[in-house]
Amino acid sequence: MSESPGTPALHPAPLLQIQDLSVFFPDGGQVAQFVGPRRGVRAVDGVSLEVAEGEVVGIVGESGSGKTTLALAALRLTRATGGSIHFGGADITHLSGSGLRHARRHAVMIFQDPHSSLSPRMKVSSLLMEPYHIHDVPRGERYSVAELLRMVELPERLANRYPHELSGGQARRVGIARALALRPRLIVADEPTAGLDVSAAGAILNLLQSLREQYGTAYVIITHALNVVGYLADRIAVMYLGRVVEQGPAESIYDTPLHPYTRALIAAIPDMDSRAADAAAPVRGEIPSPRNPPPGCHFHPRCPFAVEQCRTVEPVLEEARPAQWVACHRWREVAATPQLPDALRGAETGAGSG
Amino acid sequence: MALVGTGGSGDPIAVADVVPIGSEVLQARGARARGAVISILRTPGGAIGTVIVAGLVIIAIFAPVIAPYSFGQIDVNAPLQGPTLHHLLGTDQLGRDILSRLIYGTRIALEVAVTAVAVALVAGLALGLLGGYLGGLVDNVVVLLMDTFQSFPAIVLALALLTVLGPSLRNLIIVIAVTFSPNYARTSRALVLTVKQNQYVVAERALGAGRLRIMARHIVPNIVAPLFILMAMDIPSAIAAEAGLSFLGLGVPPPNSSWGSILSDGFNSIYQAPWAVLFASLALGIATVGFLMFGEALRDVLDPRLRGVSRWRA
Amino acid sequence: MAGVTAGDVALEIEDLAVEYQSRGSTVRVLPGVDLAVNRGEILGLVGESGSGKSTLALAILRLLPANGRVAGGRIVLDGATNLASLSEESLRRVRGRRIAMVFQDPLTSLNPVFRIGSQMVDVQAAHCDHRVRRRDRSEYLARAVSLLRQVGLPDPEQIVRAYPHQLSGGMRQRVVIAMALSLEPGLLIADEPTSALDVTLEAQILALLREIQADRDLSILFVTHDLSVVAQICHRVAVMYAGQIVEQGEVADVFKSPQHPYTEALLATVPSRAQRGRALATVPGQVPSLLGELTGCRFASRCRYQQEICHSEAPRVVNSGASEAVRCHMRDPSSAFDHELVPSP
Repeated sequence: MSESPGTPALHPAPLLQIQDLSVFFPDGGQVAQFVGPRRGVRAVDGVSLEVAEGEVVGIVGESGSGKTTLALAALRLTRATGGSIHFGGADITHLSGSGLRHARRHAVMIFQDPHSSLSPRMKVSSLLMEPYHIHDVPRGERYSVAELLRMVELPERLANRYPHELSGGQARRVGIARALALRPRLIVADEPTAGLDVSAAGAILNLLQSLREQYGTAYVIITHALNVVGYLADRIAVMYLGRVVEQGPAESIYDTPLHPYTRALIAAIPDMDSRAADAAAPVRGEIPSPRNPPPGCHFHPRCPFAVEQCRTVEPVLEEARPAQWVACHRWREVAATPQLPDALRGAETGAGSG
Repeated sequence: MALVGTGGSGDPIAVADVVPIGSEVLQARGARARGAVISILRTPGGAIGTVIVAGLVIIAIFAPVIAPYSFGQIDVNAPLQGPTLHHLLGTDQLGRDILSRLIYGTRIALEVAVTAVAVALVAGLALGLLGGYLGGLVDNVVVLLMDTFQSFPAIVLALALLTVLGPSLRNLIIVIAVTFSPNYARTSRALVLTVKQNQYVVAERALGAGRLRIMARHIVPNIVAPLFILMAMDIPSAIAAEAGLSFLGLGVPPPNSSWGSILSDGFNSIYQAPWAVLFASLALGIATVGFLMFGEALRDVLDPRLRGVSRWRA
Repeated sequence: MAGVTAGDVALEIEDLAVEYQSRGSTVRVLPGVDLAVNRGEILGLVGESGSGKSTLALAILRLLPANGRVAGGRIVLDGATNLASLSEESLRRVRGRRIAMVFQDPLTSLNPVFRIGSQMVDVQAAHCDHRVRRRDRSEYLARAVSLLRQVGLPDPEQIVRAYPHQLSGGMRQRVVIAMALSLEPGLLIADEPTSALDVTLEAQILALLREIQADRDLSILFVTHDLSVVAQICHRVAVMYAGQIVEQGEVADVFKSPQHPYTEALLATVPSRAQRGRALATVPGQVPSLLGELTGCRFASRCRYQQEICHSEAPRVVNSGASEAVRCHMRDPSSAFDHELVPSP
């Protein structure tokens, strides 16, 4: 019996432990905060998540879900306005200076846009060696530039290039190589395949998988593509408007999704094999602005299962199945419904048919 | 990176994407620098500007060799003469050769202008960097300081400072630098604020880099280009400023021959012998135009985003 | 699929060549492309970056950037008009009225300083032959409201009064589609219209496009890099690689048994849960440079079936299997390709 969402039953202390994390971006400058009521964007709203050593956790969500902000806050790159972050057992929520720098050796991030995360006036070789300079790693403990490039299957001659002279796929690999330089225990990858052609995306995923097998690194993969996460992740957390709506082992999430939003995401996964000629859109409406989320359950305006309670009471994560947690008042009804009800089908159109 | 075009997918179909990785053209750094120089020389404005600037630099460096006479050499027998074989541009009221004085004046003009603008750039960059990156109180102080300096008309500020410090070449440089630096501080601060948001700065923080490292290695190199362009465009203003201050008598003391002092002296005898005024003005004009054209061409090459409608381009 | 009549072609592209000027050299991005969009069908044009698919789409309405130009070929609309030979003025009358275009980013497709209604009225007014009277404008506005309702926007009377930034991304994309339909074009060119949208929104827009197409018997040229989108919405598909169309045919046929090695590779690289634990198929190498002379098959260096003939001789376009057109030696019985040596899949 686990005590909190997502923890495997028997475990040593998790590598990364986020508890009730919130990130709130207030509108206006310093003065505005004191004048009116606090208005702004609640990007992350009380999220708890754990990542064990060597585990791959996928965070799935569309725009406005807060998944990237969550990752940035967990790595202390954005200020969290509530909650706590523990890494390797240590409380890093308010850590600064050398303590934080030390933590940064072991938790690295690979950013979404490969080119903009590489300093444009530095050659690849300098970029790769930079982590060693920052952390004063003695020469004997360093990988060489050649070794790092080989690890990500890039030719050595790229070492003298500048970021803008690399293709998207190559730049991404350089970002990965830089992340690997310090042999981190955790890698947070933000949309690792975004913007890549299909052929390059497959190669990146292969690389991540093989690195994982070789070094036992834990990953947090942030993406909106459920099929990417399905390929790599052990556990999946689904986010909607700053909250985790469902969480559990990847198999369970795919086989028996319990939250209506998860179901909609899965239904939206393109199916190559069958002609979806007559399938209508899996969910109506659009994601509301995170600035003004609907009260109660954020998803209720779009949810075919919504009842009065959903409009007023925020659902909390409960362990519906072993290790599978869902935040929905009506998950039992959802589980009992074999396929999407007709209300979920049909886009919000009065299109032609009225 | 040369663009072949843009697609609806939003990302440019860059030549780099379709050129195989072994391409030397994209690899060699030397080629990039050569490419920049060639680009500048390609436009008519750039070519003319470069020639003028290069010419001025050569004249300044080799002044003692080129000038037929020393700048202070007085010939009491030949005051206020027009152009003759001995004095190609005539003489001033003390019989000094105008051509030589102009040549030496080039030295002063460039020395003062380039040094002053360079000092302004360094000081402005430092202040803008500190204010922009550190934010908070430091930023407020920097902005206040710069606003204060900029709220004085430059000439008033210069006059006040020179009166206090006394006229000399060194003080002239300091004064001009002070009046120019708020612009650099403001520009670099704005640039820092933008660059600070860039993903690679976040990435460096994520790696654990400290503030100093980020400022020195990741912010400064990425903001200097526009500042250099500003510098190229400011040099003619600095030359004019120096000339103006010298004209008012606050610049280099005689017998040094700044263009401004040549103008100033020449005004007294403008009706009998307008040569001094004429040629000094011509020199100033050519220098200004030359640096401006060069600066614009430099801007167009270094930062295509700043490209505007240029009247010099074909 | 419903609406496709054999021989009834909405747009026929013959031997289209497009060049770009780049720093003094000329790059022939499209060497001579043949493509046909049948009336009433959705044709998917799929390719990765650098394939030239967007260039092709832009070339049809001559919307290429300043350094690009159509260097040869014909673009025949409705079997009668060659767009490539029209004057700019005549082409302007075609744009919007007979062929409309929808782009990827709805925000930049709309003018931020004008209201939606005003922009939609302007589109119609621009194609009016006579001087636009006030009566015309109110008529156009009514039409705009009706169109917005047809694309599924609730409360269109409010929307016509709104500015683009006040609408959400999905609403903007619907507005852009409504604008495209306002002159009742026979052909719609959609250049990655859903690439910037969230997955759930993408599904809605695709459903909308399917519905619109069926209602109006519209022909759509749908440009995308996403094979799964093609699978969901297109009747036929043309696969592009390095400026050439390498395979073409009915979607069901091409996706079930791809004839061209590139198509085969593309289909195999889509990651999914089913492939957990196994390495994903990849396509090694890079897209070839278009700057130099290209001999032989452009895909040869990355093809797992490549042979000597592939590098030296350009393959012909043939029928193969159920695909209408395949550009590959391996599928050409009359080529010098040695079929004995084909590795098993």
